[in-house]
Amino acid sequence: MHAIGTDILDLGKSLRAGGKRGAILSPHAKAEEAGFLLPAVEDPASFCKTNFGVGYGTDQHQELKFAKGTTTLAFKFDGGIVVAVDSRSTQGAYVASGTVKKVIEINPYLLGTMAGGAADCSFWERNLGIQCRLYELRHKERISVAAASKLLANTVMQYRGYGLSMGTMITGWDKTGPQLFYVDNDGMRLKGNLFSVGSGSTYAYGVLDAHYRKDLSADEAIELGRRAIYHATHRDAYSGGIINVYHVQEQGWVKVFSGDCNELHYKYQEEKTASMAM
Amino acid sequence: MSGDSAYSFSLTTFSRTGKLLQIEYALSAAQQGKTSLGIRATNGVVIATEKKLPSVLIDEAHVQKIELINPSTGFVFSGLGPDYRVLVRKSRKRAQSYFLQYREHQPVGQLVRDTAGVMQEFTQSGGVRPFGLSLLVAGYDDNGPQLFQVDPSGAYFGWQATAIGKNHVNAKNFLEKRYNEEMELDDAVHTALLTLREGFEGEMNESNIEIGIIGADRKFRILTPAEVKDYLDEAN
Amino acid sequence: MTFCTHSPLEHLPACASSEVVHLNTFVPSPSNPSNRPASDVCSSGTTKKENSYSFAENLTREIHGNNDPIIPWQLQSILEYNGGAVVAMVGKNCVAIASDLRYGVQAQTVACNFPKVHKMSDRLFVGLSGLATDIQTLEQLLRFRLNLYKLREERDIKPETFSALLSHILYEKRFGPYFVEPLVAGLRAEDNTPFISGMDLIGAPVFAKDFVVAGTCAANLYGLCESFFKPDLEPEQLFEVLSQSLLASVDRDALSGWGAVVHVITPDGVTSRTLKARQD
Repeated sequence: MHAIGTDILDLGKSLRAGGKRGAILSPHAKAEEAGFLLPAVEDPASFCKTNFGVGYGTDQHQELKFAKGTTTLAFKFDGGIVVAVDSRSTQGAYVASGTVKKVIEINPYLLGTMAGGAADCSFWERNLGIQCRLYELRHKERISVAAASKLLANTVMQYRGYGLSMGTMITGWDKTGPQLFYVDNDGMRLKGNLFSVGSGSTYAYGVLDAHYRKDLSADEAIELGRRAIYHATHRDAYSGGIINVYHVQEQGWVKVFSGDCNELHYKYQEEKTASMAM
Repeated sequence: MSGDSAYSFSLTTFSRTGKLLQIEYALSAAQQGKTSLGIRATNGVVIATEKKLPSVLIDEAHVQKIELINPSTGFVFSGLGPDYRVLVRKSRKRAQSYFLQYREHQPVGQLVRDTAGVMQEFTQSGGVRPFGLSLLVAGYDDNGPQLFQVDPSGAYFGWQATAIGKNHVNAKNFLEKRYNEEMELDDAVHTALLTLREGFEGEMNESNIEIGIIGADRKFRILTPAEVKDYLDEAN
Repeated sequence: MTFCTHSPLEHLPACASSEVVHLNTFVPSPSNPSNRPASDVCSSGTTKKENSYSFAENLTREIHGNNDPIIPWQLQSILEYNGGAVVAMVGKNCVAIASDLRYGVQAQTVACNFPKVHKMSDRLFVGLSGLATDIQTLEQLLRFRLNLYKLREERDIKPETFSALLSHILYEKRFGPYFVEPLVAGLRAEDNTPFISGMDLIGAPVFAKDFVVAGTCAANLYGLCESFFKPDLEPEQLFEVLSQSLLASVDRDALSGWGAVVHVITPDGVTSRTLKARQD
């Protein structure tokens, strides 16, 4: 066993290929070789999963409760991709933070979103950033979104069964245009036009499905993303705080909005009463 | 036997003239009991009763006719002693149940109503007979000092001063003359003793009468023979 | 993917008994009456005892398709099912009591117009936090008992007496309690002195001189009240202190908030105000 050292850069690398110790001795050697100390029990995977589980509803019985992220969405449209997120982090019913950055800026062309375990998401997406940069240096060109998301999917596959919790969307603009992928801790990776992830996702889907069109203007798309997140923050107890909206364009992503969902609530309410009066 | 038993489900069945004879008989039983009386003063209530016993051999110290029901209420009776104990037990239990529920002593009016309710129930239930006694209830609560009388029928009345038992008619006449509204508790005790003496056969002393008082401290207590003696001495 | 090909599933209905059965396919069978996924039966040695999974677990396992006893949104306590916060505070010859307005079902906010403080008489209020259905039932029961009390005793109930009555009602259900944590706040009729009390769901009372709290953010409320409370506040100050304490507390609680109502009881009457609060 050894602690995390400089070889942290190897995290997520295909361990079979690396073979620092040659043959894989046990299924748990994978995680251990990658630099994580494992608990000295017979079955570290299930031990981790039972005691350090992070996902929704998995840590209620645990002494350790992890900060979780909650409503995120992203969709493609003619003008690129809109990514919108809330910023509430909860531990049980306690609101740990209302200003979490749930859009992770992997590099100027890639964005990741955060749902599930905050630590899991931010660590592994930072790790993804490292892998993408290494790819760029090796290949002298930017990594495609498809490849980047696959790197993340491969990484989480190495830790399948250890209780990681992440539901993330990887977006960016590459040679093939705007791209959007969903990756989660089961190793699931999906390409799509519209996703929403987190406990408030159902509310966001409701708004998105009602108003989404491919030919939305950029302003309309941004407003749709913001509105969908706002409705989720209102209905979902575990979503709230600041709403952040990003627009992925050919030249890279731009942060287009950051504001308190509560101010939006009263603004929308005012608009509603005004329109009803007319 | 055969014909009657069909109608004997209750001892208190209306007679053809619309009377409940059993209740009237129970009232007679009460009116044959030893005289008891009560007087409400401005700052308290006194109840008093004769404790004359059928034999000189009986140990008077073990006969008690005035009973504490809750800290601010006391009972006295005229009529059947054993019936009285049943009623006292039920009323005490009811007062405790009230206290358990509200953490507050049951007001006198409530206690009287509940006790009267029990007595009424015993005029209408199967397999029972009415209580052969009348009650006087003395108490002091947020509504001030109060005196009540409860009869076997379950009827109850509030009084300024009244008497029950064998000599109640004379005693009431006496009280009507002696009672006044400004009377304080000490005077009321004196008046009670004088009234009791009116119908008393033989010499009244501290062991053949009983006195219970409640003052503004809202604590009902039975006077000790020594205290009774002091009052008697003053009255002479 | 793993497949199970052997015997435990052999006597399934014809339609389900194909040669290869997905490990996590959920099939009720005579040999598997507890409705557990077939995967249990397949995994040898570590098979859990019959009926050792709850219905919710089975449902989850059916969806998730694994052996882990995972229950999504598992409840810490039934008291937290609907969410909510209540607080009462004492001032100088006045007392205030307030609640949030959320009615939720776990994570889902269903309504923002569910006050948890109820007027029992002119100067007596009760705040009920906990399971919404029990809040309503208990409120109705208290009103019933109070109406009877008024008719029978021909007087208004004292705050202390009401608190004792409530405590008694709760303990009567010691082994099947109402999932409610109540607070009582009132002004005594005799001398306008304030009374507050709080109790747990089986009626153990706490008589405080300063404030009492209850609900899903009780810990938050304690912290804020502890910091903001001062003795002998005037009604307006009391309103401010109580409101700020409540708002700050519910903003740090996922399960309460979405508006608040504050009642300030003074000898001259009651002022009730609705607060503008965060809606997330």
